[in-house]
Amino acid sequence: MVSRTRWPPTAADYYLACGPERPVFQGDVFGDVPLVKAKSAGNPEKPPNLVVERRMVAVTGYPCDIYAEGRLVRVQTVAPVVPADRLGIPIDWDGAFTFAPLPDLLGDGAWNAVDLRVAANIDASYLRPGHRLRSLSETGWAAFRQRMALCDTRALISLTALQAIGASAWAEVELWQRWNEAGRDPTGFPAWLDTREAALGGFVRRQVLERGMIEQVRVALERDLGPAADDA
Amino acid sequence: MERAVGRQPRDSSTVRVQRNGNSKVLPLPADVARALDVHFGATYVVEVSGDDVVYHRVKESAVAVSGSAGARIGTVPDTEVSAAPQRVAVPELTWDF
Repeated sequence: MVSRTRWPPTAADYYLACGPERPVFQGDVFGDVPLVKAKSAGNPEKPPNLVVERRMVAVTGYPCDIYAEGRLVRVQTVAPVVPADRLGIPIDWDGAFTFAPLPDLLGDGAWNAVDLRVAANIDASYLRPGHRLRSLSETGWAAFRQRMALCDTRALISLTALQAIGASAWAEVELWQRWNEAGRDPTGFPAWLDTREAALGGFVRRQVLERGMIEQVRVALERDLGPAADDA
Repeated sequence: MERAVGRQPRDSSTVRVQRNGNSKVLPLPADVARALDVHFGATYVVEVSGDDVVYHRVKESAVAVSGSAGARIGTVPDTEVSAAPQRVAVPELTWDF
């Protein structure tokens, strides 16, 4: 449930404590990622002056679009993370909708924000696990998507609605993380999820998940991972 | 703050409050329950403010989700969407972003 009585959220509300087993997800913040700016050289007929900056960025692609068969697709879309003090974001976040606030991003109390007006493409290889600075919590992910919609449409979609829409994707990444923690090949999880399960009435596990029955799928996953998998 | 769930009162002057899966019954004056339209099945967030207990009704989502995997979409009812005019000046986007 999204809390409405403590707003804006704190870092504890907004981020997830997770290790490298957590699959890359929308809103993840990475450091040291090359952003390319193609500035005009003054003549549109001539090649631009390319500027490459190593920056903090947030992944903006939707989870379903950033993977193909369990692998990050080669081209990813990101937006730069900038210090929030120069952006004019109100303390209650009610305004400056072109930015997605990131409270206490680096643990130093300072606010940053994703500039959602910018869409940059990078090679997925730059999204290195050791350079991931933050992953959003379920509340944080809902708020991040709320800002994305605000930026492009000025439509304010309730966090409750966004959380409901994203529930199965959120459940899926939780189970995928568990799969990875057990030492399994990360690319094998989508195929496992798209398999029919006799113990689930013959339904495809993903369909069961999408009907909100994550616990039943979790039981099937733990059964298949087995005790030995924890030692892998 | 507690997450509170309104349940069918045993009489018209009680409400069951649930926190972390544990529940207990708290008294709620019948006239207050009537005035606030507290009814069976409704969900509230309860906030303690000084000597007052404030009940915030939680609106259940009426989102319709359909499709599967990458084709899964949600249809958001009008009640879950509103227009949000930009109320602060946003700095112009330049190459210095």
